[in-house]
Amino acid sequence: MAKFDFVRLGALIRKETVQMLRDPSTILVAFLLPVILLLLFAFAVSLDIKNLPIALVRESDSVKSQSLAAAYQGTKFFVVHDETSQQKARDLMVSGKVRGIVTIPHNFDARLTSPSLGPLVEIISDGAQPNTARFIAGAASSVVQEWLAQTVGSKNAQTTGQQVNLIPRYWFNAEIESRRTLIPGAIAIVMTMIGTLLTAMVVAREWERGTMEAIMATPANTAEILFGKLLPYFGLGMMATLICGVLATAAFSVPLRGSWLALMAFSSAFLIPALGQGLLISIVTKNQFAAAQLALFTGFLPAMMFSGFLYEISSMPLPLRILSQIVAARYYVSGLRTVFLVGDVWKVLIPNILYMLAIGAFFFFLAWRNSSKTLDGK
Amino acid sequence: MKNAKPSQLKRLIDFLFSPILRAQIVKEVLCTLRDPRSRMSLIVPPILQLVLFAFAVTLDVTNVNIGVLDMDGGRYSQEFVTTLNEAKFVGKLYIVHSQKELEDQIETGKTIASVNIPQGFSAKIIGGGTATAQVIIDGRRANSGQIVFSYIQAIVSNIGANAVPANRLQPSSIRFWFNPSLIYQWFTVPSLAAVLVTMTALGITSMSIARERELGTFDQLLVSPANYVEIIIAKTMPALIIAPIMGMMMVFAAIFLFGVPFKGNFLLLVLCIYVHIFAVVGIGLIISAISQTQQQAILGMFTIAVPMMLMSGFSTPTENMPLFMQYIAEAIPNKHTLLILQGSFLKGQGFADIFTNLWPLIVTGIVGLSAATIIVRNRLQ
Amino acid sequence: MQPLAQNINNGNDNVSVTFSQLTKNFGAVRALDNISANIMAGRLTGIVGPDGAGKTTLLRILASLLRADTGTAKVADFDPKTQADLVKDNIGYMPQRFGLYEDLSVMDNLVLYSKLRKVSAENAKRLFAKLLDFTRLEPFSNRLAGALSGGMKQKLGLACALMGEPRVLLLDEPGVGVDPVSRQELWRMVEALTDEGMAVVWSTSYLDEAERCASVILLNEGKILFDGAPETLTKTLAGRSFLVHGENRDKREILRTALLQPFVSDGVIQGSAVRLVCKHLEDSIELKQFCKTQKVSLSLTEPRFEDAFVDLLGGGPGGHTPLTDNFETISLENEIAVRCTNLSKTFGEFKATNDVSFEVRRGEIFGLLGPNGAGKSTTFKMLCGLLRPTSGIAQVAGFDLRKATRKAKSNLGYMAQKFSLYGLMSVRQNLDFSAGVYGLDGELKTARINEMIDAFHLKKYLDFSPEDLPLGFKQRLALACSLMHRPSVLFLDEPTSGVDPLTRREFWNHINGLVNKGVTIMVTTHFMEEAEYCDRVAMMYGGKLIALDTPDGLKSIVTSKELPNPSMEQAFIRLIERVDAQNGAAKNGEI
Repeated sequence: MAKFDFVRLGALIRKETVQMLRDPSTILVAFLLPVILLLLFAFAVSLDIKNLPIALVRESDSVKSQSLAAAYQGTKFFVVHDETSQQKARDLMVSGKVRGIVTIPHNFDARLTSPSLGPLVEIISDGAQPNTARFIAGAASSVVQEWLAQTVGSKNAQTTGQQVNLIPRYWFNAEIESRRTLIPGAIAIVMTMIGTLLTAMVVAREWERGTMEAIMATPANTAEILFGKLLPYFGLGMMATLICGVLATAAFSVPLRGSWLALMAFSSAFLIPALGQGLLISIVTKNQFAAAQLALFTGFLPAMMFSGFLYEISSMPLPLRILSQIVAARYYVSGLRTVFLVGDVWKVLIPNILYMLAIGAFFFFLAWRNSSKTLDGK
Repeated sequence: MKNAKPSQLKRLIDFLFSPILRAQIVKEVLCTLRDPRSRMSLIVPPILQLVLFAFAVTLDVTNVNIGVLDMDGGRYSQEFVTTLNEAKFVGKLYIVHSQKELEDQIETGKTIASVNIPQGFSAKIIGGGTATAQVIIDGRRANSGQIVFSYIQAIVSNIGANAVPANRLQPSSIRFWFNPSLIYQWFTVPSLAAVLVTMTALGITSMSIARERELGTFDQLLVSPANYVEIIIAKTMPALIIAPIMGMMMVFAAIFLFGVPFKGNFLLLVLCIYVHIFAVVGIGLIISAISQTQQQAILGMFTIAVPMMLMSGFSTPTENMPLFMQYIAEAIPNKHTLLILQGSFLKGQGFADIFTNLWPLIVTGIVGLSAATIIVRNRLQ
Repeated sequence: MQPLAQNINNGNDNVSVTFSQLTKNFGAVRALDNISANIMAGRLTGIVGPDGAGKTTLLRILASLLRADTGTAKVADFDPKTQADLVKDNIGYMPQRFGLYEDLSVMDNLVLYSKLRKVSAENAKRLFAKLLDFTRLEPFSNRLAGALSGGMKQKLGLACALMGEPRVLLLDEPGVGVDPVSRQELWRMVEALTDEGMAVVWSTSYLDEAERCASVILLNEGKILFDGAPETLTKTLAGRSFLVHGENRDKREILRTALLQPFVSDGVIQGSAVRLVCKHLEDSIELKQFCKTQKVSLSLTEPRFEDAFVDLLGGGPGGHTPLTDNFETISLENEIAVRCTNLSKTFGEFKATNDVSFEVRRGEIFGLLGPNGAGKSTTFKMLCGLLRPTSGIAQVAGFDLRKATRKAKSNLGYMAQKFSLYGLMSVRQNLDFSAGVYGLDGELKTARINEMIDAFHLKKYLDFSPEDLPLGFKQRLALACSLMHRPSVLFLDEPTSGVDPLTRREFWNHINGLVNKGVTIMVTTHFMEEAEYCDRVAMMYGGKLIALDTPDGLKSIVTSKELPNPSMEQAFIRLIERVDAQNGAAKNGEI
């Protein structure tokens, strides 16, 4: 085995960097895609309920009922359609034009003082989209409760119907903007794309084009060849992190309460398993198409599903929870959210770094075992 | 005049059943089914998606860890803690003894929410007043946190029920229509039919031309008398045959495996699925025509498919998007098909309502296929 | 000039590479079967054989890129199996697609390889200058490798392989798909290298290249058929090679008749003559008799290496082809099968084809020749409907390809270079598709398909995928698919590149049978042999038609005192050089 040589490594790095910069896929995956993904996650994927259309059927004419109706009109959650008949409202819900119906009954004022007459308002929400339905129900009932607290005045349990008042405090994200939790996740996806997908395809391409063969016929040893390919992409990944970080803080008003140094250091730790996975895929497939497919299935998909950024890991069945433990993106997302929204909490960051490095070591080990010095592996 | 009409019709029939077109259709279907790569994309994703989305991935929240600091110790605070402990959504309940411990757990992510029950909690309730408690929620997991908070709220609404006269004010009653128990799979599994149909149709068509280019058989096709219209029809055939099957599979899985009720018109749904495929294949053909290699095609497909999925309302409601994005989403076939599926399964929508969501699909299909035709024709030079 | 090779003992008896009893299997396929040979320093050794013979496998084993299953080897005194690094330090290797990074400039590629071989900075400067001068790539050092022509890429690949000043240079099919003019350049460079003591190994499937090597190892199906100087083999055929001229006779008819004779072992068309090889020396008497009867003239000629190769393989195939037995003779309205008038094609600013016009008569074999980038593929593609002309008219069987596209295309058949068969479908399904897509249906379709199956003996392969067929059968299938609709014009795009001579002869037998029934053949090739089979040849260069004549006619243009008997290749090169001379020196470096 030829001794590792830095001059050769330098030449290979330089070659790879030039190629990388001239390749359109690089521009696409490393620059265009992050911007698109971040835009999508900033705007399209939003869990912040607003502007949901509901129908308000006000069967009473009283001043109090009008006041309540106004309260509904005033919230940002809903876009209220005033309807006069229940039937009309129901038709609207069937056809999907409204997601909920709030009915203020004709004896609304009476019900305020005689609870036995029934609840103050009736809320029906469209269960066809369960998550939205839940939110509508919750938001609609909280409007009533707030209205009660303001207009009726007393905090008497009897009149307000509440024995316990829970006060929520959302730490680290007082505005409860889902964007602040999603953008860090988006960054993880971007890094997976660069580290795993791009790397896998690029190395596989060398096999397909025959240049790998020519390099292998020179004294360059396997380690130099592999590192020569990976290091530029490592650099690219770090730059993408910087770009995403700037976009997130400047364009999408996600606060960075930690330090940039911590962000970069943490991200570099993620690149290790990401690149390792990409390398392993390219060695195993030696074919760009298969590499792309495999990278999408084993890199991108787990990063979307099992990293916890969109879907709660704890709510998944046990086998999938175990699976998520070997998904490096999971640790990355957790750490990213902390760095952005909390700060440099090393208590949280260090264990995540260690997990990621362990996964990375595993991938690199497998890549090492599978890379041969001959073309057919024998 | 009378002679002109039959010959036009005859020409159309001759065209549709010509051996040239038939031979191409057979070839397309055979190549799609036999290509190990597309075969894999036909079998693995459906199973994967079914398992993942139906069983695993959900916006519901269960099995989360909660912390509680009980500074009161009275009757009602204990009731609170016990109920929390037994709640379905709670994985582990950590009973802490200091504010610092409580805050640490949130910071390190050990718990998603922690309840701080102050002194005097039970006394207030006994006195008929309203007690307060603080819930600290990890804002990094804000969405799940909000759901957890609403669960906890539901729990406290029953505390001390017996300390207050039976006749207490009920602010609201809540009913869920169409899916009374809010079973999440009743939403996901039918929606998967749309996702699957889209991914299949898009996957098959976007690979078709690129594959032939890479294998070198495209030239052979170009020198033959086959014209570009036939080539396009032939290349949409595999999608039109295979994708509906996938969709139907998912529909049946929904009805028979998951017990999702189906209240609408089945034939109408099938028609809608076909229209959906028409809307999608145009996009696939465009991707295929501009890609030089299969790898480019798959990347192109991916770049289109991911935003499509995210903006279609499958993961989050479309109403949450800014207005300009909602307009863009109108062009996404999935957005409408999801509503059609919900309408057919759970709501029992009639033709008029279905049509509201069907016509955008028709328009998208026409625009897409026309664009594809133009692009393919230009590329065939 | 300082030598490029390291200072080696210039003795010609120095063994540079040796291998003994090498065997290599890939699964069930035996690529190399117990072969042994020596390769000398200071010599150009050719490893010659058709595709699949094992050439690339052998080179890769010598370069330590593959390990042989059994046997030993020594390359520049080191064992590729156990001393891979030392071997790599001492060799230069150029793989089949040149091994260049297309996104990097010429200089970048050179710098990369110099660093990989740890050439010191001062040495590097000296080397670059020398190599750039040697390859005449100096003016292009900043051009991206991907923007170079085929010939230039070849030279750059060679330069990169020479970076380590190796003792042994391994070149894997460096001349494939490159026109003769560019190949000339390469020969020049290689000869300079061997003069300095380097051992150069050049693998090829072109048999005429074999004749230029000092030593040849002939490989076929993993076995060595011959090892030595090519003249040695060729000489064995002395007295058995003849040229037959028929004044008023169709040369193909002569060939057909001749091949039926028991004493004739091989025959091909050569220009206006027919080249025949007798089975035995004594047969020349019978041959003379035969020619008298046929009223054709006979002359003895120098044997070629290819004659010897075919003889080694047991002689060529017979002349009859059952293929066209059922074909009707084609007749066309005005006897012009293909016509192009003022045909031009521009890509952006680049004029690939510039105002080309010619006519091809029914029943002609018409060849389109030219260096890479000359516009011949562009013109070819326009004539069969793959490209739309920027201006001008292209007609097939009297139909304008642009206006009466369907009719024009129904009259033409096309066979692509690497056969373009559907690997995912079976042989039968491929036949089905080709018949259907040309509008055949019902009984007629079934009848024609069965005809092809019989004519080409495809019966036992019907359920196979074309990818699993032996090369000869793939070719037959591709031909069958292109003929199902009985086209009046058949377009062949480099139909026999890489194919062994026997399969090539069989193929041309079928083609001759077609021509006999009036089919017109349009062929493009880099293989000068095939140019000889044509009735007329059009030479293109720089997008223009520079010559159009019979093969012998083209040769006579360049005949001169120094060159009394030019070969097709020499004619090709000289014609190009003349155009260059006329256009001044500007184009010189572009080749």
